Amino acid sequence: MNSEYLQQITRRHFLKEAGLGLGTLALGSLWGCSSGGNKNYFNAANPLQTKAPQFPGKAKSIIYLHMAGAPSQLELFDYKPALQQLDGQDCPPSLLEGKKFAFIRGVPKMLGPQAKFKQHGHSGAWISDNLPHLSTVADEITFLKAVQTDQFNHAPAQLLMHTGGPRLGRPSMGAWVTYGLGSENNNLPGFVVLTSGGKNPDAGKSVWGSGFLPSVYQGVQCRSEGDPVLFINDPQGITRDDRKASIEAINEINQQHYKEVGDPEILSRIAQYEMAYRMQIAVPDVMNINNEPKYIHEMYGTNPGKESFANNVLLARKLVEKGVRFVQLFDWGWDSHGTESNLAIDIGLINKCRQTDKAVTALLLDLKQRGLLEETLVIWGGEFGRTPMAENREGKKNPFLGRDHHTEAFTIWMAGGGIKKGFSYGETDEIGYSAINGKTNVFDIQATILNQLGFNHEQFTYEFQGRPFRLTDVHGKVINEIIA
Amino acid sequence: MTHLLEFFGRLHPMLVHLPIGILLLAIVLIFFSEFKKKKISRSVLNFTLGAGAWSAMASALTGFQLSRTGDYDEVIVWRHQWLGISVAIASLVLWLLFQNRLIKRRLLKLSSVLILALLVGTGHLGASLTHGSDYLTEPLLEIGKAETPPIDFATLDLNKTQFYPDVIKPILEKRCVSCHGEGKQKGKLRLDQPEYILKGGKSGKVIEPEKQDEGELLYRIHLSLKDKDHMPPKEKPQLTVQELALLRLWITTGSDFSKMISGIVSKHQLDSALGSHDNQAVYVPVSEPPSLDWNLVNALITKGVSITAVAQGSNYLSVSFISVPKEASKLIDELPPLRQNIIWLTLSDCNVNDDISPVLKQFTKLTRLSLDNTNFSDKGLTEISSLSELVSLNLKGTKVTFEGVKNLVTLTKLQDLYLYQTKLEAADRQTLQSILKNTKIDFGDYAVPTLPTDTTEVKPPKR
Repeated sequence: MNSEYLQQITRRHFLKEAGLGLGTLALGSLWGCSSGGNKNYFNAANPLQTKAPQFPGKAKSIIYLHMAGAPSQLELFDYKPALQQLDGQDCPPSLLEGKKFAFIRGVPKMLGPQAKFKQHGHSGAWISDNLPHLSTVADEITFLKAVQTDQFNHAPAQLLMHTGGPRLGRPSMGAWVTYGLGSENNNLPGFVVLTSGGKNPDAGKSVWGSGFLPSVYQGVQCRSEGDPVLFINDPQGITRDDRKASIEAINEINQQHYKEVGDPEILSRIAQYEMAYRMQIAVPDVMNINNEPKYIHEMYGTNPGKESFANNVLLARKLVEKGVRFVQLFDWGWDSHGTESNLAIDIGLINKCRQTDKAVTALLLDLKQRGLLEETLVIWGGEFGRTPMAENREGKKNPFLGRDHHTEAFTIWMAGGGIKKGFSYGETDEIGYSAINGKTNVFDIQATILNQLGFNHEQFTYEFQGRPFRLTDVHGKVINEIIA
Repeated sequence: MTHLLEFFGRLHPMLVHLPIGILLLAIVLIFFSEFKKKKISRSVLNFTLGAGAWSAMASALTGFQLSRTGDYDEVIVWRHQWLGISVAIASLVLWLLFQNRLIKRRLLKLSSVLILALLVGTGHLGASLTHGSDYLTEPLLEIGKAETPPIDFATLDLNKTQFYPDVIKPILEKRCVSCHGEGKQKGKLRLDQPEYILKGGKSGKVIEPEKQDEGELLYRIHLSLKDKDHMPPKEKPQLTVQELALLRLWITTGSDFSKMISGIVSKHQLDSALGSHDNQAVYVPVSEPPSLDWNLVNALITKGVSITAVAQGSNYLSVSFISVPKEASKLIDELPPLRQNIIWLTLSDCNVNDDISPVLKQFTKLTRLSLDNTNFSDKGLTEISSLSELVSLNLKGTKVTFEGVKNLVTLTKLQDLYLYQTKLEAADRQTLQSILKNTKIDFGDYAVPTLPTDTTEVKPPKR
């Protein structure tokens, strides 16, 4: 070693290398020592490469339709004629003792169902006249009518639903699934998020975050108007060839750096650049609903050029068709407190139903005729349910009819992906306040979704901070009763 | 003091071997000197008898202490105790007589035979306490009996198999009963009979009928092996993953002692508890395919073909050309070496036509095939109607007609057929369905009519 070279190695250089070296050592020991075959497994050079599930899964993709704000089960699926009898009466103290509500104070009045119900299909599912379209496909659906959660505020409840924990920091379901299975299409992200209703979910982007999983697994939020992904187009004056040349140059430098230090994150970075380049072509193409035929637009009830739930639903179908693993939709506006008319159970809720009913129904039928429903699991639901009592905010009557947040029983439905058709599981008491049998919770739903994709939720783990983590933490049971 | 006594009690299993060995030696010496006509030094015999007698006393005392812990079957303990005490007394008396020359040679031999008998009896009962009463005879009882094979849950008739007697009892007998049975009752717990299982042990019930997830039994078998409360104790043979899963399933479903399995859990619940999955439902053949050329697989992945095993560790593959639809017609020619392995094939939206059917029909294991939105037509369809394993076939958006599709009658396993946007006449649908009786055909063309309410809003009442 000549002295010239030694002079170049400064103290700063030493600290940098030592830090990296120690880090790599620590990383090596973390990987090497994890016990029992639960090692984190992904190919850093191609982190979205498809991977085999633990056992053959029935579903290949997920479309999760989250009605943010929490729709009222009592006006949609959970028919309670007995509640009508009690309409306007004081809520009995037994239902209030020891309970906490987000807004209800004092003694609220009971509120009867604000919709007409009928049984539909061979399965005889109770669906209200708020959902005239969905009623026609009742026989494709399994309703879970006694779902419970333990968070009564939007943000924590949404986080719990999608990440398995009410606090920030855990990976979302879509991130877990993309980590576990990769993406079938090399040119598209594995996990796409679409929002509508004029607002992002309360919990923010953490509901589709990657938590402690490598960041490549986080959801990619696409927009249904303007550029589908921000900054996806080359800036003015830059041609595609220029872009290609610059990416190649950057990757070459990164490649050299990788040879020096051997950090797999660099390979991941190179792969990301290459994928971004391919996505520039593929994403605008798949995200463009204008080249869909007219009858499809009529079927979904889309509004091209505007932000709309129907557009997002059509996009979801297109994405799944192209091999995207997890499509997450959030539609804001279901928080029917009755504080204003568009949050009224008999006005705003009905309008939300009208905005979404046709598209959701079209989605199920369209997936079906394309042979995709068998391998795509569709989930519809909110983050909790709504109370059988009318909301009296801070003890005062609200200007419109509304219901408060309710954690003890609400309805979620699933269709396709190896779930029973025309089935209902779980039951609430005669006023829809508590679940009385077939109780399920958020973790059970997560466990069931993973099961349909070919994962045992108890064995699907990621080593982090010295212990294996799971989506369902220490909870959850697969809801075997609803599996076909 | 009690702890010290308990400690002495636990010396018993070690000390018992001394009188057995030493007294046996003494007996051998007595007879040896007789037959071989060789004089054994009197002092040697005296010492051996003495040592035997004292060790027998020590064993009896420690044994008495151990029996007071109460973990053992009372009847056997009682017999073992008195036989043990008689061994100690008899050997002590014999030694004293011998030492003081008060015993004749013949009587000496006779009494040594008596002690031998007592020794064997005591030893056997002691062993019964430790290892279970049928420990010795168990292998003999198995003679002539066909070995019971492990239960094959894949072929098991759930309507004819009782959960407890046929599945759970054998597990408990194999793993638990040697310490929690008739002979030994550690922690005052027996797991050999339903009534004892329900009764529980020293720390209360082991199965909580009300809180099925919380019973002591379930708790202890799930503890970490490092935990001192873990059962079975870490030095003993452990429950297998399957046995653990079965026990858990049985307990959490209400620990019923008489019902058939089908009366307690569904096939699906059983399968998912055992981690075995109903592969038929997702069209995976039961038999494992030949190993495959991973180099070829990786080469194809580099070219953009998506290839994945259908499950970790399986050699069956799922292949998709979704990222490279334009190159599919060329790349598919590289697949035939994997023809025994590929069971799911997706060619959706690819620029392929009937020309690929000679390649396609080599994939005789295919159960799922998606040819939607390709230029496939009747000609190709007729060629691939030999793919007899097909369960799901997607022909949406292809050029197939009634003439071609009706040839699929040879596909007896075909369950799902998608014919949306094909050249099939609406008038032929019924005829086709009557030909393909066992197939669910989806012709699509669903519509969701626009209702007046879809485009109007409910307005709040004017005040």
